[in-house]
Amino acid sequence: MSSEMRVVRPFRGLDGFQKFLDGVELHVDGNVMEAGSGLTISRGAVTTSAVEIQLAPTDEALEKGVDELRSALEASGLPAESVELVAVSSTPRLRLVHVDRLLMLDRLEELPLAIKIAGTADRPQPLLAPWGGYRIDVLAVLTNDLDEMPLRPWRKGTWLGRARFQVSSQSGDHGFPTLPLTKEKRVEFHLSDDVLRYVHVAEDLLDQDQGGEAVELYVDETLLAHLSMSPNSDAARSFQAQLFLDTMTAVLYSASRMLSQEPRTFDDIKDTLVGRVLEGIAPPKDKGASAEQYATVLDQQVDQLRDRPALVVASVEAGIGKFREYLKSTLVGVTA
Amino acid sequence: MKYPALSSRKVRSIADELLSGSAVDVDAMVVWRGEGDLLDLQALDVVVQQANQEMVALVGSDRDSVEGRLAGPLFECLQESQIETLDDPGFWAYLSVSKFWEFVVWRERNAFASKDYLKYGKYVDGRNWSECVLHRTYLRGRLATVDGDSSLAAAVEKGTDLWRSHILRVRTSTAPGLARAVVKEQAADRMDTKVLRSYAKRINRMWTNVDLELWNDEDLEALVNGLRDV
Repeated sequence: MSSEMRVVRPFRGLDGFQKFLDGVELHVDGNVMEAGSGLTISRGAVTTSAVEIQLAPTDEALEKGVDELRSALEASGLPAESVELVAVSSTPRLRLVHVDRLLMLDRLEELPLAIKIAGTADRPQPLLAPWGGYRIDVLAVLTNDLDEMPLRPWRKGTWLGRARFQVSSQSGDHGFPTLPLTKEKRVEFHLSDDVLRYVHVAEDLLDQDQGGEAVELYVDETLLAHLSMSPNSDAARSFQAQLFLDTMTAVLYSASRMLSQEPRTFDDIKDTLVGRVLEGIAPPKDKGASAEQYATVLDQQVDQLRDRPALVVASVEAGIGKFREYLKSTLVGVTA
Repeated sequence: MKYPALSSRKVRSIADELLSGSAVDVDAMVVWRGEGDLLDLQALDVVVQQANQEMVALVGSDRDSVEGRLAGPLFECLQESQIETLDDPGFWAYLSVSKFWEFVVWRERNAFASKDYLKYGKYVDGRNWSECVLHRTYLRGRLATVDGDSSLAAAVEKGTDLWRSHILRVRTSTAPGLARAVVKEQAADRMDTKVLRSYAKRINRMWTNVDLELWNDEDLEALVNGLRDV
């Protein structure tokens, strides 16, 4: 059991700001994100795709939004020249933050439908981090201190409404991308709406120099968004570990079938995803062993994968750090 | 730029071997990521040299002070590197088990003495950015440095708790001016652990309603000073 202290926001009249921001979208790499949502894209797309804030879908909706903001200013008693729309981009691993000042609310008549945050070449620093991904908060904030009044925000930087968007990159360490299972993908792969995850394995999985592109893990887009929002909880880590295991199971069984059809040595597949997995779970090289002797050990791994893939899957599971603790925490509520 | 990186699985096996006394050719095990010319890491040799000298010369037990003094030079060497490189956990893992292995082991000697990867792995695995010794040292240098002066990184004696728990792991590290203001407060008049924790909580609660990234350094200094007196 845990307790958490939450600070209640002691302000009145801010609903209109939040209502306006609830309708804001982020357009990334051809995807439309709603406020509060998450998106997982390739590492390359994280650092190159155009990013645009869509404040309203149509001119009519924008007019309505402007009216909402004007009403919010009135209801809150805040002067328009002290309120600004800003976009704060951040990336977790490097603690980088970039602030785009979008528009002071005393110029509401200039509010555009959309505002570009990043192009392919001109990008704020947080949007250049392929591994950590980024978050963009679109906020209405106070730009200066006001006189203190009960129930009215007065401190500079106080946010009056917020729309948050989380853009994550595909898992780097696993070596294969995690992608949203969209309606289009369900149609492409002939999957029903009830399917939560699907692993697509390329037919040339065992070809040399194949990287993570040979495998694609698709996860129901809503589920993936939830996962992106709280990726560090034990439940999320447990789920991620299970996803990893599911993917590896699909990969290893596909590889086993391919090896049965066309025998190969470890050397043939050493640079592939499967080769790297087999090398990772192989017993360490004895100090006195020659390279030739160790090659035999690795070839035996290949043979085992061909003949008894379930054993190889079990070894992969054993190598997932803290999987047991995360599962235990998820199932019986014990913190790992 | 092309840069060297190690997967977490690889860094584990390398670290295990190094701890068992085996010689490991780390450079032969890296994967090269990025494009173009090779990233020149030779400049880091000066930082490694400084680390070696500081480890020998340290009087007393404040190993964090060495980390603090290395933070600025490490940041300076890497500040022109691409974000793609610095964001890559594999890059920090590579530095941890290659050039800076001796320093990392020395810095977290108790964890490494166990030879249990579950205990020491977080200090070399770049995925854990706030624990990985090299990554956290770099961040400390970046946050502390103003106009080439990184002295704030080592301004607080025995600053492990301050930097790890009250700056890097929390949102304070996303506002460099705020991080520096907190360090200055602690350096000027040290708070004990309990007082520091309460003080840090007050700062963290400010974030609930206020985006401090929008504040300038002067205002942040006044704020953290005022929160101290609550």
